[in-house]
Amino acid sequence: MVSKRLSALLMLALIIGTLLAIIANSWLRGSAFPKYNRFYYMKEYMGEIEAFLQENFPFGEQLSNAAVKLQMWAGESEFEGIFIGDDTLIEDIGQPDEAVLGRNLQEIQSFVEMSSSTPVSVLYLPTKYAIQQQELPENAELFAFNQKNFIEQAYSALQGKATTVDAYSTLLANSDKYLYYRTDPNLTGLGAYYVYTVLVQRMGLNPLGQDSFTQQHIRHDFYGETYEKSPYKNVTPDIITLYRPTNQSACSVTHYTDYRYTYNTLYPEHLMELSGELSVLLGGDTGDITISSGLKRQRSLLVFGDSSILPLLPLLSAHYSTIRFLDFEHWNNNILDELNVEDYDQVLIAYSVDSMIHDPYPAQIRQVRQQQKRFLEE
Amino acid sequence: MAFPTIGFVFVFLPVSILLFYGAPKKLKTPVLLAVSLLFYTLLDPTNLLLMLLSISYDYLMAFLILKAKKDVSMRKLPLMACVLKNLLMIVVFGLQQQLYDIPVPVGLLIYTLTAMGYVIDVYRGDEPFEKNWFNFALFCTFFGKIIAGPLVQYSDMRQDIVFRKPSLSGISNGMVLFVSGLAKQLILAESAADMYRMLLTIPRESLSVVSVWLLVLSFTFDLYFTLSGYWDMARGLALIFSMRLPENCHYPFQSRTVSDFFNRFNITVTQYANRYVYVILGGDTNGRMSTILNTLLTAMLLGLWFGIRLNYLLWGVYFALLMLLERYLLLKLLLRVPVLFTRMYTFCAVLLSFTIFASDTLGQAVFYLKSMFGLGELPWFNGYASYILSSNIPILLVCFFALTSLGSLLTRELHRRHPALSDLGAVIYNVGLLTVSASLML
Repeated sequence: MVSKRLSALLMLALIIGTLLAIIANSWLRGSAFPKYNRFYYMKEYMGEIEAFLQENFPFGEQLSNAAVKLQMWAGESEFEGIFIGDDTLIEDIGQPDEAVLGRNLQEIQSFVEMSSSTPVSVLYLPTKYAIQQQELPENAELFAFNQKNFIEQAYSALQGKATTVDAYSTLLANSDKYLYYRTDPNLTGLGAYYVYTVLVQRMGLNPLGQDSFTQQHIRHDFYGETYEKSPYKNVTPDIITLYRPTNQSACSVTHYTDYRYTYNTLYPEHLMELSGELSVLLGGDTGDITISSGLKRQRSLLVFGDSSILPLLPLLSAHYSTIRFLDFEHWNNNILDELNVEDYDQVLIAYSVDSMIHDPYPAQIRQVRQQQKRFLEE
Repeated sequence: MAFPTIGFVFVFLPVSILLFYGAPKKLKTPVLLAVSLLFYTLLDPTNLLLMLLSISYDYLMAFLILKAKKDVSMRKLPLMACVLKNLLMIVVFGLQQQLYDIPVPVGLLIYTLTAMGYVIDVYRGDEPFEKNWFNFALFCTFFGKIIAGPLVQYSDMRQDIVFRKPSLSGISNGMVLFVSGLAKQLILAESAADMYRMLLTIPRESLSVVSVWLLVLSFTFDLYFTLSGYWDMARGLALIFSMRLPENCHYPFQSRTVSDFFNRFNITVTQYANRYVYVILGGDTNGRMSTILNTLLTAMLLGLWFGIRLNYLLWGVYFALLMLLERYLLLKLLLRVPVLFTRMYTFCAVLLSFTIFASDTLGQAVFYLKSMFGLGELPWFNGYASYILSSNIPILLVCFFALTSLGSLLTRELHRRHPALSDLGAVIYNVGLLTVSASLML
């Protein structure tokens, strides 16, 4: 009985103490208690209150980390779709949305089949989950979407119509290297370099050696998107390395949003503090970006892709005087009137497998195809 | 707001305790009722009025029975009106959920059956009419039991509601029981549910005999620890607010027979069905055929407790058949066989029953059953099963341990030999459980 009384006393003290600590924490942080309004369903409102309480829970991060460690000790290795590897976090992209995937593949294929004199290359970029399999528990891949099969099947449908780029094999062969950030789903500078070598080869160019790029380690304390989502936080921060082609004298990156602005560098470092570390890559994905590399030899490339492709573009700028990058997730479709695929020497369609199986944006290439058809008819 | 949330454990509960113990004795019941209604509002605001109207209607029917005194027909009328209204509500909302996917109001079964049982008891003269509506409303809607029970009779709670005697030992026992239920839910039930969800993602052609066993096992653990966790929390909360709720679960997987399983699992619902259905129908006093039919009907109702679905009904039929088989054929044999074997027999019989419970169709249940005995075309073991097993072995072992009374036996033995050490260990264990539970809610 003594033990029960003492336990109850301690537990009550813990509960009431925690309540007081939550109040104090929220006051110190200035976070306001969610207000109810008539548009709420009670369930949503309670969800907001729960999130508020979790955010202000004393030692919340430490407790959450301890819970994950306890579960890891009990044999679990996946938490909320994130695998805890050996000092790395790997997101499981889940199973595809079949309707979305079907539309994306169909529209890309229709675009490729459109008769045009501009050669098209297609790159489907595998995610970290598919490449860093050595970090996953044995047989975990059985439960995941088979990215290798998907890429092979998608490429075989494009055979003879477009140049397909097998980044999967190259990345897998070098999977022991620092190809993906430990705390983010994106490619590191080195990962992008490996994809670049196979990409430019397939596009009929000679890839430059690593010594043709100056490498600058600008951050050693980067925590990415996966880290933010993960309940497990005990991971070494990432290093951001920038690859700058040595053959460029002057280079500019122009963004076309509601207004136009230009950076005279591939890597506007000042943006890291303002809009997140990875916005250092060309200034972030705004949907319509043009890189002018100042190369004497005039060669242009039009890229349809998503933000996972951004680390590749600075490397490609060593070969093209102009690269235009369009991401249908963020673009302004007013530009359709002036966009003519024929104005470019080459076209690259490059998406991560994650985007292909979940996002509806790759299918929007249909608008470009229809516009191109009108151009050709005129 | 469910029990295993930060909002409930660290805000709602302490504030309710402070309000309850801060209120004068006369106001304790209205305060606890207000807290219960607030809890219901946070869970299901649109159906609060329905609940209040329903229990008030039943209260009125009980009052009319009282007023009719010895006029049998005048006493029967309000009883029938009460039974009809409650059964209609259960069937209509149950069918609405089945046909149109409209959720059943929270606690519908609990408050309708509780109130209906009370009206039947008043009719039979087993319970006095409760003159205070607040007491009756609290008996029907107490927030601790509104989600999953236990299903109580008024005699279970009347003394505590009317002559409330708050005590430190009540709060102590209540806190310990509540935290133990919370931990069952968060640690065991959630882990089993995760495992079950993962197993469901395996394509049918990639299943193996072991993975089907794991599927049924994880479903059983999820269901059992969720319910048993909720019931522990309910009893714990009742004790904290100086009331006692009956035990609803007593190591059912240690039962020696299937009939015994029903006396240990969802005890209050079994007792309710026996009291208001089995006995009223004549029980086992009208010959073998009547006993068979009554057992069948009662067991089917026990299945329907979980929802109006064909597989729940079949689940009840399965148990009825086993209970009848035991009663007329196996009982003598089972009593002679060593305990370990009878427990294994019951465990397997119960586990197999959950293939019916877990399946969407009868075909799926048959597929699971065949596969579990290697009668299908599935391999015995494969990579999928290996992954699930390797990532869940410790939690499966803990689940098996928690099904038994070994823990409490060991604690008792330790307390007998080293009382001080046992007390210290219990304190660390209880506070540790609360801390681990809190960390899992984050």
